[in-house]
Amino acid sequence: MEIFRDTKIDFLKYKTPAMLISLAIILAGIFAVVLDRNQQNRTELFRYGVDFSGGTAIHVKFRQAVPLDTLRSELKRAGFPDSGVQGFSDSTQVLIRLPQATESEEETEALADKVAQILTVNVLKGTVPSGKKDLNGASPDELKSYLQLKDPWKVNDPQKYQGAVDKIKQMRDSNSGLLQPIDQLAGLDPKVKASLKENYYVSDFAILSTEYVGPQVGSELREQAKLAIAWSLAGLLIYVWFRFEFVWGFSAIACLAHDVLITLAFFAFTGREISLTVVAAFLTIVGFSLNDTIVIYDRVRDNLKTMRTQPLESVINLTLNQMLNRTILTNGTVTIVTIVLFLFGGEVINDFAFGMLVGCISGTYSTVYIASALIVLYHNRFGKKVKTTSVKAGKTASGRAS
Amino acid sequence: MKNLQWKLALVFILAVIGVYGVYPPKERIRLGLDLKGGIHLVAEVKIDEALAGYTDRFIDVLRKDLQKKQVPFKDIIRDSNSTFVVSGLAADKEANLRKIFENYGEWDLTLSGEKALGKLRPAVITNKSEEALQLAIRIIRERVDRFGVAEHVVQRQGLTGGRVIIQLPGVEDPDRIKDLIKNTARLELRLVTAGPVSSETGLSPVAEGSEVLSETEVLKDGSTRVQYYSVQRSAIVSGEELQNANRTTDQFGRPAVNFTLTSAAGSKFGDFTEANRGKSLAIVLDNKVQSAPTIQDKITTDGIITGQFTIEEANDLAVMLQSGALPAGLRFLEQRVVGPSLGLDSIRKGLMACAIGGGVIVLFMLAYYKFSGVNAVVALVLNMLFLMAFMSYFDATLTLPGIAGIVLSIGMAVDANVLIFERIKEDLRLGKTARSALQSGFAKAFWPIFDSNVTTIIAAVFLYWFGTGPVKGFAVTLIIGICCSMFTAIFVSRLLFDWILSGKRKVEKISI
Repeated sequence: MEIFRDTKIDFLKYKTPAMLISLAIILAGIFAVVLDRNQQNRTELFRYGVDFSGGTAIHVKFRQAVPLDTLRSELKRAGFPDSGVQGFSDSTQVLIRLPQATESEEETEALADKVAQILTVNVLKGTVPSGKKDLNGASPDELKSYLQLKDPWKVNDPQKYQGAVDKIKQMRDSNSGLLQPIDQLAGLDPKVKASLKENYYVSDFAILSTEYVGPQVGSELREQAKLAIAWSLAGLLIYVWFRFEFVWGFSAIACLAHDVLITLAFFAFTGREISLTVVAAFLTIVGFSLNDTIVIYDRVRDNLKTMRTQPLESVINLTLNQMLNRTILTNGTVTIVTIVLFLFGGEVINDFAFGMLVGCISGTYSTVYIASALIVLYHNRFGKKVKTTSVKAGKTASGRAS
Repeated sequence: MKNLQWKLALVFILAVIGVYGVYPPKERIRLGLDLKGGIHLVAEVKIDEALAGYTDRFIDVLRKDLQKKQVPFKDIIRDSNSTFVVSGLAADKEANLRKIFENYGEWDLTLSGEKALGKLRPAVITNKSEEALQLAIRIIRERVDRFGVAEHVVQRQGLTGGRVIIQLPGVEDPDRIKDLIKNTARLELRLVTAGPVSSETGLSPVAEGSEVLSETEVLKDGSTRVQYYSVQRSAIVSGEELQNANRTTDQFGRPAVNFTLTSAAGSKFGDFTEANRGKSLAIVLDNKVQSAPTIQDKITTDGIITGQFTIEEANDLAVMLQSGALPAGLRFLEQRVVGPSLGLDSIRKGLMACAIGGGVIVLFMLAYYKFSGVNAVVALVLNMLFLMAFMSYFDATLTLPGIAGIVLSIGMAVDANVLIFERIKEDLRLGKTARSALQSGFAKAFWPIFDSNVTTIIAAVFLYWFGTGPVKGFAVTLIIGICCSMFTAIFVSRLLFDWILSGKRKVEKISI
């Protein structure tokens, strides 16, 4: 089976409009970033996640979906004017962002408690039964020592309550941290339930995770991420330069920079935050996009050996046609995989998957219209014949085989 | 022919080792905190505090030494973390002083008139900072160990600096564990010279060699009462001289902590309590008075710390006292708490994404390459197996981005097969025999596969270098995944073709 056979598509004919489109997307991205910054009164250029900006992020799961606007306005009213609320594709989950508290770095729990209070009273319009604690947020240790103290079975043996605690934990963990009301907890002894009810209630939300990053660490991580991207681009430039030649290496790196910029632009369009895992996605995009470029370069180099008289542009066009099946197959499957990750991978890696998806598509496109187009432009402009002599590793495996 | 059998045997053995390594996966694959749930902390040891403590202790030593050698001075005051000033020295004793000062190797002492300035040498500062950090790491490790956290990680972040990474899988209560880790837990028994009084001013002037410490009590109605004591600066017995500490209850049945002193400290304490009957003894924890009972009788090795503890607090205090005092306090720079339900959810979704992604690829390969697709799928399955086995044998941690890395490396592994198969197809179309098309296909595809995988590894290496936690996990899986896929796509896949062709004399067609 074959998808394409002996195609003769003139890919590079469209290089100028394609490059203009790329440029337009990148410019629109810059515009979106600046616009967003002005709207949000940010000092930093990008919308950073808690990893890079510092502050606290609280991931909450509600029993029923809560309108994000309500959540935002209630948080503002309750004394968190600079808080941010971000929704997920699962509308019952939200991420609440609180900016850096200036005075102390050790109040994450106090903050989480305060947010929990706001959620119960202001957002869900419920009441906190006086003096009672949320069973969704009680740790197994705490529950165990509570039951031990209350001793509803009058057994005076702390180990006896381990089973009940385990059951509660298991029910909670398997249901996104949300328990049923205490009366409806299946398989729990009525006496234990009665004891629990004296001190606990079940709220309609659960805190799934909290993250606190201090200001110092935030800016350090930001520096590290920039360095990681810069160094890997430099490392790749050197490798491609070594394996091919400088202009090719330069074009390949320009192509990678293009992919990262396009992905950043799409992050700005969709209002997504840049976090540590997103940077991981960027670096993977860099690796993957270069993968694609190198496979094409390699074949171009191969073809140049037998087609010295042909203009570079048509050699590249021929190569692209020869490799069309491979490009569709590989990039198709990887794109499908990233779509699967994006749709089914869960909330936590959604941004990562989104970055990968955009990067994959951009990487496929940029191999043709940036990496290949640039060497053609350079070649046409400076009229130099591409030196096949400088093509290293030319008589390696492929030479031996034929 | 023999060669082929050897290669097949090798792959078979590797597969067996692989299966052995990953089975059962629940026990063999180490999950990261983002999948298992737990607490990730980055703490900074307040090294300055440790240095200040070291300087303070030296000042005590110097004070006693000067007194012993009958050198008159007014006071010794710590100036900064690593400097101090001696004032009121007699000018005519200069030569005498120089002689004394020369004995202290770690300190540069300069005399100017009636003052002397002491300065800790830079090399010693570095040394002491490093010592303090290592001690802190050891004590934190012991505390979480005694607390009962399995598979915890306590290690320095990077190679220099005063930061410690603490990872506590399965722990759900950050409040409690942070208190357990960060408190220095310096226990001292000191003699009360005056107090208790309700305001600090009631104690002035403070007697020579004493300082004012406070005790905070929560009363029945929920309000707090603060009382002040004047206590001697130097301790009679301190936490280092403890032999043991355990949670217990006091005479009213409230949680408390009892301790046993070493026998040397016990006899010292016995003498002291005998001589000071009727006076009050302050039990000071981290410069706060816990309680100040009156000495009724001679006490030797056993004591009890009462206060308003919950069972957990008493338990944790006992753990801290057993583990020893931290050389300095901690400051938390980073804290990530992942609840167990989020981790379960992530695993479920990650595995599902893996299954769907893998399934789509398998179907694709089978439909497109027919019989050769089976070959690719076998290579892919082996690739996954080797990847997991590597992670298991090297004790690498699987994180959520790591799962994404696996999914991606499946995609990239397919690329190698596609490159090879496309080349074979082209050569078959040119009229080559199956055998020579195979040969040239693999050979021609090798360099693009190699180059493209090396570039991905370069990116992943930088990711590993700069990343933390889950991102590092992603880089590791990606690197291992790529190495495995090169092996399976080039070596195993080739082998399978050769194996199939080996039985037949002349093969005109392969299903591709």
